[in-house]
Amino acid sequence: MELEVSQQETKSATDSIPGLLSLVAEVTHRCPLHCVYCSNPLQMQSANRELHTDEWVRVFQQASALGVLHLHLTGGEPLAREDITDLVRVGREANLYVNLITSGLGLTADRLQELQDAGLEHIQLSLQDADEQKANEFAGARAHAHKLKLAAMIRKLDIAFTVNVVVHRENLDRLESILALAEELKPQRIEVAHVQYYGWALTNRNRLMPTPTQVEKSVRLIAEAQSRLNGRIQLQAVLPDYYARYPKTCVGGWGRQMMLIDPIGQALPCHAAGIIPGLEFDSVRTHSLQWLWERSPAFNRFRGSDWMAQPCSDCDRREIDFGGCRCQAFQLTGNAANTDPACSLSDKHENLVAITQASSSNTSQWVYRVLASS
Amino acid sequence: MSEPIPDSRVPRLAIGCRVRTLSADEAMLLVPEGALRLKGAASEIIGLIDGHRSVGAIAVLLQERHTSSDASRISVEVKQFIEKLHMRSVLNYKD
Repeated sequence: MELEVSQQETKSATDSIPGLLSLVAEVTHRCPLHCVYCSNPLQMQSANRELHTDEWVRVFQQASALGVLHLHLTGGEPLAREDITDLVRVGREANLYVNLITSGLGLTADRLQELQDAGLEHIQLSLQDADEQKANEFAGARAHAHKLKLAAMIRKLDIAFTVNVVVHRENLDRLESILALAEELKPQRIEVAHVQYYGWALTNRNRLMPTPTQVEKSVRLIAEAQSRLNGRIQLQAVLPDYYARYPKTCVGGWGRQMMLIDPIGQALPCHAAGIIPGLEFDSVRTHSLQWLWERSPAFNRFRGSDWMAQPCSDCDRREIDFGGCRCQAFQLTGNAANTDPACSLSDKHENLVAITQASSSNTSQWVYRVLASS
Repeated sequence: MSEPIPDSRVPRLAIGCRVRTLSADEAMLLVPEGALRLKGAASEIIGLIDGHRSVGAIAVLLQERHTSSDASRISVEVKQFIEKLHMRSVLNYKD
């Protein structure tokens, strides 16, 4: 009898192309929220260029044939697409596990029922804070009260329910009450994620970066909550990589298990890859998913470990974290092929430490996410 | 190892967990943020969890299929495997 986790493929990608497991469909960049830490790119795609329903249908069917297991429908706000129920249905009919990542704005009891009938299996609802005024401030919209009402509706359905909370300097002092509120909403899962500094979050980094004391306390509170909730609610945490010793295995490694399709059909290896100069992203409008995964230059650029230089190329961890995040390496060192400075072995790691140490004093104004498309 | 679960308990997959069969002796258990690859007997057991059969009934079915294996060992392994999935919150008990 054998029980093993599926995502265990560890052979060097130079030997074989790893299997694509997870498809992130950024179906629109339209969103009623304006979150100050949104992971969308600063240059977003406008509605008139978005993929049509039949184009997404083709993508989902190709994904299933390629062996993809999970489909994550996200945005922007995926509910801003009028055909979202159809997209859920088609994804499920293709035998994909369908997850909807949403702010909840635009959801009603009727629409939830339709989504369940269409085959939705998992819904992730974001929560910005336990304090309503603060939550609405971070979201740039009056959304908090609606989310609380929605949670009760979701629980009545046969859909797995995760509450996502993003934490940062301006809400970490309320982490205990945030965890308590998340628990009160009775989800199956809670995800507490420290902000990752890409897109709008990088723009607002001065104001979001937690202090060392806050980070330490958050680690303790999360561990306590995990043991308290054990067996009832699964609590997963994403810790801030600026405070880490080793970098995160970003998206499970470049081109190793995840593909993101943006609203106009470009295939990206991660949410932020568009910032890396010199990379061109081919589109599902002109290529098959299999070609994009196996052959497109963008996915092969940092696949495996052949592209690495020192210290990554000699490192025992090169097949564990794959040198960390390429986008962060570019953002903070100017070269995407450098070691992610979140790694203590990076010669730029000190710069990150300096940013965390200067974190307590800055009070710059929020820059809100707005759709200023190219 | 904690106390073995009683034969009468009826396991069922938790909300948001689904089995995708790959072949006769391989299946994927899809869960909200991942998947478990189940091979051999694990894949057989997961296929027998339907929200009606008890742990004991599942063990009996497996014993009938594998007459050359030790019956009591099958029973122990079925319970251990089901409890392992329970600890991972991918299944719960009906009663």
